[in-house]
Amino acid sequence: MAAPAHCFYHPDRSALAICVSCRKPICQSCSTLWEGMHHCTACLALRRATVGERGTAVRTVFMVLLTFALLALATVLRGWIGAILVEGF
Amino acid sequence: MKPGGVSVTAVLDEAAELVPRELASWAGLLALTSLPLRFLEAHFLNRLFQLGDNATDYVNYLLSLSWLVALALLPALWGRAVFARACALALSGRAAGRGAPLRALRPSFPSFAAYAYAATVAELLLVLFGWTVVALPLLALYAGLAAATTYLQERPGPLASLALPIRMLRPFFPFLGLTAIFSVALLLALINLFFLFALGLWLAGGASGLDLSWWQVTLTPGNQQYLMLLIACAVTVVEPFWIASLVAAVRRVRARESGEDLAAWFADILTRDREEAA
Repeated sequence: MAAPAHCFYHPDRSALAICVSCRKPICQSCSTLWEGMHHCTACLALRRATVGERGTAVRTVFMVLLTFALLALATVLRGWIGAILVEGF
Repeated sequence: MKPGGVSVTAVLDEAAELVPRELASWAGLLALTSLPLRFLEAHFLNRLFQLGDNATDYVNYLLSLSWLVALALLPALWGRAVFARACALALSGRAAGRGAPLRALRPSFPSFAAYAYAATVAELLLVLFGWTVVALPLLALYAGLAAATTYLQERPGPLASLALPIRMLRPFFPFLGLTAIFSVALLLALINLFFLFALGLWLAGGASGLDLSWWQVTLTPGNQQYLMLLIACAVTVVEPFWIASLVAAVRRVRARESGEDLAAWFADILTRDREEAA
């Protein structure tokens, strides 16, 4: 895929990357590498305003607990459903 | 890239080029983390079929095997998330001539938690409906898309994390085509692996002093355990290409949504015009 040649915010500068959130081409000074991905300044500011770190942490802990509960359910069902199906067929 | 479409052949080309050239070591990591899961699943199914009519009498034994499968699922999920992230980083770093950096090993915890949740729901659905066979390709597609969208999971949530992989299916037919092609690829990998082991046995038969009678009985398609292990190996061989294809397809879907494909197409035309003028 050919990258667009110029920075969205600085048309006189060559684009180095594409912002992972808004997909705009950005130059080196506009790009911030976070979690290995390029983000433009505007998107980073937006994320900072909308995503509360505490809220994300609480949600993540909830998701982890939910995942373990579902995994336990899947594990028990695998044993029982497998046994019942094999006997039935 | 031409605007407006997610071409199956272009996606396959991209994945076939990416995996052996830039992601060989990452594919090795994926195989290392997923092989224990595949072998344990094969062992579980083999024991289940061996128990047959007496399976409910040995349900505690089956549950202990099932817990081992669940334990092996966690590193397998991490391996998948890391491989998908490496694919995405390699694809976005291509313009700058870079491969996937080592930081792909550390997916952000909220993203990984969201992926693990979606993959566990897929596992639960597999347990409930996998026996219908028809559900298998659809669940494989969902689980693959969940891995391919790990790096896009920014705000984990019980519904949002499940919906993100489905949102990528807006042009459904290319994904259906990919699933059909990889089903055939899995079958071909299985046949190739079978003949590879048969060839190895035949060549070993040429060496004097080797007693191959046990191997000749073991490595036959009639041996259920051998067949299960072959299927596990075939899945491990095909898996990196499957995930890389889905990452490339997701990237194209997102490019189409953002208009990036139009910009790239226009840039291509401009470059070609300039080259022709020069």
